[in-house]
Amino acid sequence: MGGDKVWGKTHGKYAFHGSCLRRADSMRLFALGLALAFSSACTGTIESNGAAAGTEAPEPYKAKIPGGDDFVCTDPETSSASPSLMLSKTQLANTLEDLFGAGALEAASADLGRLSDETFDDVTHARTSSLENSKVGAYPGIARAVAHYVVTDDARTKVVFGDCALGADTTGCIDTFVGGFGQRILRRPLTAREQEFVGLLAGQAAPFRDNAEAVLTYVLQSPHFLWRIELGEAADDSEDDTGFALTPYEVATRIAFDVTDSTPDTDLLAAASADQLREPSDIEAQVRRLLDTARGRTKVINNLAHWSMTETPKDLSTLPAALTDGVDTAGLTDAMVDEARRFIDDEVFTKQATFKALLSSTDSFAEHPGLAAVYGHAPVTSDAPATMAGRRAGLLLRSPSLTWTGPRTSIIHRGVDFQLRVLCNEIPQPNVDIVSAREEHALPPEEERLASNRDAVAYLTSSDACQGCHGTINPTGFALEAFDSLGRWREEELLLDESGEPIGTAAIDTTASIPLPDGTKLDVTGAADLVQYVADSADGNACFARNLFRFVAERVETRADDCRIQSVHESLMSDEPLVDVLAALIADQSVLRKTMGVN
Amino acid sequence: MRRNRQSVGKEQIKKRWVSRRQFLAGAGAALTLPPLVSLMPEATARAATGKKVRAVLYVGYCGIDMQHLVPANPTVPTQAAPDILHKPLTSFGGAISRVIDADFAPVLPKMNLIHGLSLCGGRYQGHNATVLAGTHSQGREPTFGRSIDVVMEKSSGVYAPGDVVAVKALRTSDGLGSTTMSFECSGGVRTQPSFTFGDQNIFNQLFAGLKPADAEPEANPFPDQMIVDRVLDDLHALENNRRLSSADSRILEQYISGVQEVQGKIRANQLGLGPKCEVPSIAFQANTSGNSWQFPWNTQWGVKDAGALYDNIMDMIQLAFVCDLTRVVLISNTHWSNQPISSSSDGGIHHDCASSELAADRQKWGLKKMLRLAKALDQTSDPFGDGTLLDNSSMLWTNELGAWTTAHSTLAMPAVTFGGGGGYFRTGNYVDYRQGPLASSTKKELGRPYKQLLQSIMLSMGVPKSEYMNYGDGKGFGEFVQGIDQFGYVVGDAFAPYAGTHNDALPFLSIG
Repeated sequence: MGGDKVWGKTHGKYAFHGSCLRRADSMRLFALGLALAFSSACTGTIESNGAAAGTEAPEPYKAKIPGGDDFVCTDPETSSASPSLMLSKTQLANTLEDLFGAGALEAASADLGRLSDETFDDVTHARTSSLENSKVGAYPGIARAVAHYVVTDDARTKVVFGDCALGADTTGCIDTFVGGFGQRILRRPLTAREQEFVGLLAGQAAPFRDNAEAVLTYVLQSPHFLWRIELGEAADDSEDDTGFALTPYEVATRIAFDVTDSTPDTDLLAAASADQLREPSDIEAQVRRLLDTARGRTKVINNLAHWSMTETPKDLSTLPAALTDGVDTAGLTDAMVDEARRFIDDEVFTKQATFKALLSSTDSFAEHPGLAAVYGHAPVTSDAPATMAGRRAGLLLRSPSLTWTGPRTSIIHRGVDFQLRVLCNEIPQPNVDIVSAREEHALPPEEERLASNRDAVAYLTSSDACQGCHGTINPTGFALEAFDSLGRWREEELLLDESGEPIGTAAIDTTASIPLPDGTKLDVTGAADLVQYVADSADGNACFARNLFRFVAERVETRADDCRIQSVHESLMSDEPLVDVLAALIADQSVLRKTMGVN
Repeated sequence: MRRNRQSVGKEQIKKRWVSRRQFLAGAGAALTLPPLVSLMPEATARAATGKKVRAVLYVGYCGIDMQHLVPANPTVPTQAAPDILHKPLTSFGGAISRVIDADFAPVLPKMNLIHGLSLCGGRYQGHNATVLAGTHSQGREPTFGRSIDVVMEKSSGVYAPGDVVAVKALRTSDGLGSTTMSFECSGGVRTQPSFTFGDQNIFNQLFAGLKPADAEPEANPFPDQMIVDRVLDDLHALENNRRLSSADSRILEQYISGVQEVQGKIRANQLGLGPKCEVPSIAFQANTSGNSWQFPWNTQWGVKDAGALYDNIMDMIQLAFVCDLTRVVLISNTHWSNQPISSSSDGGIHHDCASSELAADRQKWGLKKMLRLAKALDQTSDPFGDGTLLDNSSMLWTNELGAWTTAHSTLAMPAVTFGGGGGYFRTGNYVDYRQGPLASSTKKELGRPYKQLLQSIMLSMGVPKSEYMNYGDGKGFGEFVQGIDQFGYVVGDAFAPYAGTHNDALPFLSIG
């Protein structure tokens, strides 16, 4: 990497800052804004002293929380408060499917559809967890639909209530449920109070299946099913002000949802029942087992796809033919997303890749002819990967994150996304007034079409007010300009007229001096340098460590989480396989204890 | 059945659904057995002993200069008190002002146009999200008091123990930051109740799950009620568990609120609804998926006809009152045209109104929606009492701010009321509370503390003074500051004449 990285001023004063983005940009960033409205990143002075990146000794871990200082691990025993989380929509759906089969989801689809889709916070990338009345209002319908689905089928009724449910004498069926499937649903044995109420429902003057439906409906509405509430052992006397030990069942629940986004499977519950979730080695073994399940892999892939911006296909159907020439675009966007997921799966689970390898591997699984053309190889026809051409490598330079719906790439989007997600920089939401003012500063259309994309964006955002943020955003996007709107490598930019016809070319310039979150600058010759910096640097690894933590903990970290994140960071910097890093993060000592500290 | 949204009235109430319990009560009558109150639907039984009053609160954004709202030259108004002038609205003839045009004629006898109410204090408050709490927003989010929708929702004067509704307070907003209008503070912590966005979500909240009550009773009724009661018990059992973190406790509180709402719906469904209760057929403008409000620039999700959307909402409120599915409604709305809701020029706050006239015209859009509801309520007999639903409602149209401009003024707050509040309100008047005859010219526009109007509304709803006094700055409801200090407009004793009465109802209008 030929870039210069220099340490300069770290923090400026916060300011509610303006940014100069087009309307679409501003709207997207408005959604992104939220907690980042106050940021130092755009006000700090960018300095350069010429020190070479890649030649420095590893820096200490110093990823930041928004508006906060560097993290410093001072007490490995501390951990921040671990809130009891409601099941997300995904977790509830996975749980219902794992318990009752895919048909249960279909049966409950109407009310499941009333739950808001699970989202990642656009700023923190932690998964949002909220509880509105409308969400609670959907629970009874879901419970009853699933219960009805079960009791209206002999085979399903038998699974849940035992053989006796199909016979004439159903006495004892509810006991079978309480001692068996009921425990799977609630993830622990039913309490005496629950058993009493279940018995009351089962004793109504109605046919057995009606009563069984009522029992199941209740259990599936129980807050102890829908809420991963942790209360520890009632008789536990080790409680102190900081927290208390979890029961083995609560540990199992944490592990299961952290790893698979679903309820504990029978093996995990059996381990809890046998009190075999006390030792770190036992816990790590379970975590590793679950990581290698389909649900475990899917969750890892989802999180990494989100981090790398490869999760969502873009509509490329409106790109002019001059840009897509030679590329089969039918089904291309979905193929891009699918290939990225397969790549993650192969790297993390098959190859046991490190973070560096994930960002530097040239493997491609592009079967789609169009995508293979974009990646510069023949379509893959076997399980063996092909090799991507050019200076493209790793997860961050795959098409899903590079594509754009318009003929000109979105330098601003690319820059913002990369800064936010990969560099953990803080980009404040745009000020509408400045955005409006900037519109008046755009080049006339006829001039803009003849200018390179880089020059047009640079001109558009050249005012001092804009440069507060675009001084950071633009260089990042510039470095990625060697990839066109299809994510295809290009040596020059094709200039198009209003109707999409070529009118000339412009040179591609991917050199950039990119401000970093700590106030230093990174000089790069292009995207490969930028990605290599992320893979090699302490800061790049620290940002990724922070994201891994958020994905697992489903919340934003606090200072009390410093030690956990620092441990992840150290593992990443030591080139440990990602799957090992994840297993260690999920299975560390904190999984055994609920902490009550103030977030 | 598709309802014609252009003609909402009692003739539209075509279905008469009778619940299982109503059926039983009716059967008793048919057999000439004495009607047993215990067999009546709970709501009907309550109607026999007391009326219901409903509140509808509409808060707009942008402010309005009062000259566009009130009569230009009210000739010879009657003086009710040294600082109160009034004149019947019907005496003006035709359009009363730029905003109050001839469309209002049918309900003029049942509305009031109020001039001369100001929030005490008046210091710079940014966007005023506290008007319904009778406080100005100095510091943006005061950590005391509660908005009156919350007060009423939680008051046993509005909902007696055992009263069953689908939702105690229906709150809706266009989602552009206007949900801050409702809040409550406890222990210095400000929390906001949830809002329902879009007409289909409102429908689901109010009407989903209701069954035609003339359907055959189930042979073995599913124990929904039993289960939801138990779920609520399970949650309450967690309330004092010392192992809940503060974050857990917040979730628990929300969870309980949600289950209580479910419980209300189930009870409403099982116990029977009002005697003229209809589940409306609505052409929804905003579906239940996606952020239809919050990403209005996305045409896939955006609301295409905001006028139709609000018409739907108003129609559902009318029908919800018929069914007694709620008694408190809050609409907090920054939108001001039928155009698709977007982030550009179709809605906003006071910074987005380019002129005094434009601001007035935009406020008129929202007021016309309230007018639509008022007319509909006036054409609907109250199933639970005498008169029309409008007679037994207290509707307030107001704004986050007073005078237009970007000045964040909370002096001369606009206020239009509809409805008699169950006989509590004197109606049909233009009322001028400005202290003109008494005070120096600098005080002329101030009038009385705005919070007195809020207190009157609460009293009309059955909230006792002793209760609302608890929600304020320690001196009573809301906030009472004698002076004004805003943009160089400093009057140290502006409200001094009301130091002893600011916790009372608004005089003249309050006769209950």
